[in-house]
Formats: sequence, C-alpha cells, structure tokens
Amino acid sequence: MNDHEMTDLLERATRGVHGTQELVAGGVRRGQRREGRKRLSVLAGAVAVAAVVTTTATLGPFGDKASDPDKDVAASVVKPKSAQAPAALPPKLERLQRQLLATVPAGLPAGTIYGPTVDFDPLDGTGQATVQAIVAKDPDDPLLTTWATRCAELADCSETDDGWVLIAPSTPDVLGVNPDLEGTRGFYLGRDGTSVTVVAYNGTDPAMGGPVTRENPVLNRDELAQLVTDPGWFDGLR
Amino acid sequence: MRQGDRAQFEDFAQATSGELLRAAFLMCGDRFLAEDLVQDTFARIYGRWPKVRDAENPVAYARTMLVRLFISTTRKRSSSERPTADIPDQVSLDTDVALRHTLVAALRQLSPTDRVIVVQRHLVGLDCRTVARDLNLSEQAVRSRSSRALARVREILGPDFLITSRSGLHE
Repeated sequence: MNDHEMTDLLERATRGVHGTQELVAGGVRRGQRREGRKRLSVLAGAVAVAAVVTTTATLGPFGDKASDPDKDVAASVVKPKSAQAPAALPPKLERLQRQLLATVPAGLPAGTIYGPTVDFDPLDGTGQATVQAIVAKDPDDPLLTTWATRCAELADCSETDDGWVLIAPSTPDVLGVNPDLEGTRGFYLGRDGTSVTVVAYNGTDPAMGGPVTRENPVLNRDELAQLVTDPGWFDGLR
Repeated sequence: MRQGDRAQFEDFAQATSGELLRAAFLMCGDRFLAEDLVQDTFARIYGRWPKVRDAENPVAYARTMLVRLFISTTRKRSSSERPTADIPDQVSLDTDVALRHTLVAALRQLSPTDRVIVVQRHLVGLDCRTVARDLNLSEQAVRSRSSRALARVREILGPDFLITSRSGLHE
C-alpha cells in the first residue's frame, strides 16, 4: 500500500463524516463554561499556591520538623540586610509589567487577588513566551509569621528591606506532554502582606505543554527578582 | 467575548469542524469520542480566539490543539485503552461504511502517536516537518514511524484488501 492508496482509503472511510451546527454550538458552550471556570480558578489557584507555600513553610524542608516559635519571633525582628531604595525597572521589565497590569480591571480594591497572563516578546530576537503573575495584598497573610525562618533555610531565598524574595524553578509540564518546557518562578512576600508571584516560561501555552519557543525562560533570575519586588504592582489598587 | 468576535469564531468553527472531526474520528476510532475531542478543541480556542484569529494560520493552530489534546487524553486513559480485535475475517467492502469499520479497526491496532502520524500525513496532507512539530518528534522519527505504520496497516488488512476495496468502489 503506497501513500496515495492510503490517502484514498482514509478519504473514503470518512466520506460520510461531517461537522454539524450542534457540534459547533457544543464547542461554544464548552468554551463559555471554561472561561467562567478560568476566572474563578485564578482566585482559587492563588489561594492554593499560598496554602502550599504556607504548609511548606510550616513543615520545613523535610516535612516533619515542627515550627519553632522562638525562632519565628527572633526572625520577625531580624534587621533588613540592605537599606537601598528599589531602583526603577528597566524598559523591558517595565513594558512587561505594563502589559500584565493592562489586563487588570481599573479600581481593583486592595485585598483582591489577581492573576494576569500574557505572551511577552522581549524584542531581542530570542522569541516570545508566556509570563504569568499572581498579585495579592493581605496584611493578615499567615505566611508573615513563618516566612522569615523558612527563607533563612532556603538557598534561593533572600531577605530585602521590605520582605523576602524566592527564585526557584517551576514545573510547568503538568500534562507530561513536553519535558523541554521550563519555567522560573519569582515570589516576593512583603512585610505589609503584599505578595507577587511571576512565572516566566520558555514557551507559550504552558498549561497545554507548549510549544517551546525559546532556549531559556523569557526572564532570568535577576530580572524576576527585580520584577517581583517592584512596588508598581500595587499602584492600580485602591 | 464580543458579539462580532463570537460570530467570527462560529464561522471558523463551522468551516473547520468537518476536517477536524474526520481526523478525530480516525484517531479516536469512535464517533462520540471524536465529537468530544473536537468540542474540547473548540472550547480551548474560544477563550483565546482574538489571538488565534490574528495568528499566521488559525487552522494549523486548531489542528495542533486537536492532536495534543488527543495524545494527552490517550495518555490519561492508556491503562484502559486496548486495541480492538474485531476485524472481520471476511472483509465486506460493499459500502464505505464497511470500509470505515475495517479501516478504523486496523488503525486502532497502532499506537495513538502512529495513528496521528498516519492521519495527519495521509488524510490531512501535512508534511513530516509539521507533524513532527505537533508531536515533539524529529522529522526522521515521523518518517520511519509513518513507514512502519503503513506496513503494519497493510499487514493487518491483508494482501487482497486493496483489490477488493477498489472493486467495492465501483459497485
């Protein structure tokens, strides 16, 4: 059987198979429901991330170490390692932040969690990729009581004047579709309860497993640290 | 989604539904599963329609989405999927329905990835490079798998299948 004969057979075997209006209408209905769920899951996802981080912070690196209240109190009065004012964002990061914030409704009240996602092109010829952000403000965030201790134990976490910054690899290939898909996550927790998570990928559509569009994630570790600590995230909040 | 965008999306879905459904049918081997896969594909495109519409080739985007969803779905249910063994000993090819039944049964003997390769190469008419990109394989891997898959289908259908099939075409 050659290529042409195979094509002929496949065409004949599907001769009576046609799309219908019902099929399309069903796709539209599913799309609408999916969009509705997505809006809700942005909130739920951010809460879940906070819960996971809280659990990790409480249990420690091996999961069986109880939190030491004395250490927590001691950590809460640790003096900042640096007293420098945050520098303005470079143009690339400023453009990305503007792009992410453009998707946030105007007048979003403080206390709300929002999670914009964009495909970002750094305009340097290396290719665009998806960036996702989760921004929240909660002065009663339970992480605030434990994060100083937790951060001190992590090689990738550092303390700043206003809070703590963690930069770590992300594991975007949840579907097991594309092992080449990579991400880097930046997480900032401010002492005032503000928090910013930004995840930069090396491809688009990470939830679907890619495609990979670049060699490395679209932001490096230094850029992520600079971006998540920028106070500009909260300018749009009332 | 704005009303105009939605109408445009519906036109796109209507125009591509036939091609996607035919490919999905041969990949899934079941009309119900195929419709489910196509609707899922449309649902995912719906949420990002303005971006897909402005892409270089929205139809190619839909094909890629369909294939990746199919592969992802078969991985999830790989423990329950079994090749069918109901290829009739005496193949009747009096109608295209019988041909369809026989061919689908033969395709189901292939792995899901090989099924995608056969369908994308020989029904949709895509080149090896595009199929390789959609499946995250090398072009060489697609070529050799395609060749092996055709040989396997030929073996399953038997040497007289094409002759009988051609004569059935004229009945």
